[in-house]
Amino acid sequence: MGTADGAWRLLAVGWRRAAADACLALAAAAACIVAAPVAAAPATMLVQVYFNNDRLAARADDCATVFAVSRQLPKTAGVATAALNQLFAGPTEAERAAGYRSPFSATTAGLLRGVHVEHGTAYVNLNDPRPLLAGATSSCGAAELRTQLERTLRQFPTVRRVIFAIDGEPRAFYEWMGESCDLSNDRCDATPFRRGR
Amino acid sequence: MYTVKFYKGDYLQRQQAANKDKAVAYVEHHFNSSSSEQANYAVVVVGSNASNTSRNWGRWYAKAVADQFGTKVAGDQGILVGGWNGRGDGNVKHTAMPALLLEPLFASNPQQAEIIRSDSGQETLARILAESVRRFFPAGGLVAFSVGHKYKTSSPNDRGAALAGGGTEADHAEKVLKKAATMLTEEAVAPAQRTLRVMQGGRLLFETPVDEDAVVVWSSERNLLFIPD
Repeated sequence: MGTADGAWRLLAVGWRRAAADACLALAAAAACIVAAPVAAAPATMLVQVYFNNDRLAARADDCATVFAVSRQLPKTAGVATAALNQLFAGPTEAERAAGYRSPFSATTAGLLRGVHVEHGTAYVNLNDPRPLLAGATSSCGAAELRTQLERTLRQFPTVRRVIFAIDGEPRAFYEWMGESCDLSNDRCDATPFRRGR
Repeated sequence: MYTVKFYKGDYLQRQQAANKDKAVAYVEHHFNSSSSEQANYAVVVVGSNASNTSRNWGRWYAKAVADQFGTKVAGDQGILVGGWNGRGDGNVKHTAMPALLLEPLFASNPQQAEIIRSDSGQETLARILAESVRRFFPAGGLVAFSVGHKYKTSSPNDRGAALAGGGTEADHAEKVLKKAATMLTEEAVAPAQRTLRVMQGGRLLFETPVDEDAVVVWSSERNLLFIPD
């Protein structure tokens, strides 16, 4: 279960699993009360992924403002994995026509190596994005990339912060982004990524 | 009056070396990038610990670029203090002298990429940078230049963003810095007196001194730039 969402696993007990899964997937859209056993698990779930959209943004130069689009997916326990895989594939043709844009596209669809959640932190392990996302270290490019990633993950109430790594090494990610290894990223401690494997 | 030295290695090493050399100013040149082809503003990152000199220098540079290319400035009047969420802060905050991380144009914008690739565009950017150094560091001294992305020990193949239409951010940033270095070290020092200049791109067509308090007015009806009596 290297890519399973840790926070989700805490909920995965008997009938509550299916109901809570639906709650988690729908958390951004509606309140959800798990009051009774669910007879039949839904075959699909909704997740949100976040992209920039100049038509919706108040200021065109605001690279850090993103907007949600909904994706209906086959039901899975790994909702964060599913959401990130949708994000990394980029906007659909219809979404692009509606003004949504992203540094992610079909060429980055395989970026996710794994994601797991521990104590409110999502640990996102990436296959090396540097050759594919060379513009992501500029101030605007970084704002787009990080905001899309973080908003997509923070739709899940169990995720309060996000730490990234490239091939299990957070230092590689933060050096690439020109950021320090400090308290905000647990000083680039790679241990949680080893646990998530 | 000015000497220029290019610093290589990882960003922290470059800054430490410039500190050791007692540079008076530090400039790291990048270009911005976006998933939008329309993004077109000028911005400068200064460190989270930036002095007022860094901030004013950065604002002056960003506005000069925006005025030159008919764009606008982003951030706080052209500067992002500490970068966006810390991104870029580490590139300049370890300096002991005023320091800027420049993002004058967007590599992802096809029109701006053409400017970046062109010799005249590079000349223009270099001249604005050289003028900014002369304005904020009139006493001269060692100016430290750093080419963003390129020459990093930790990732020697990094060249930053791809330019729309071909080329890389780092290779063209280096061209601009080399031109600016030539201007700073080989051109006569600009007179302290205020001057009026007419330029075509980066090329100086006409230059004349004017009074410090002169009001220069452009008459579109007469196609005339004049100073009223």
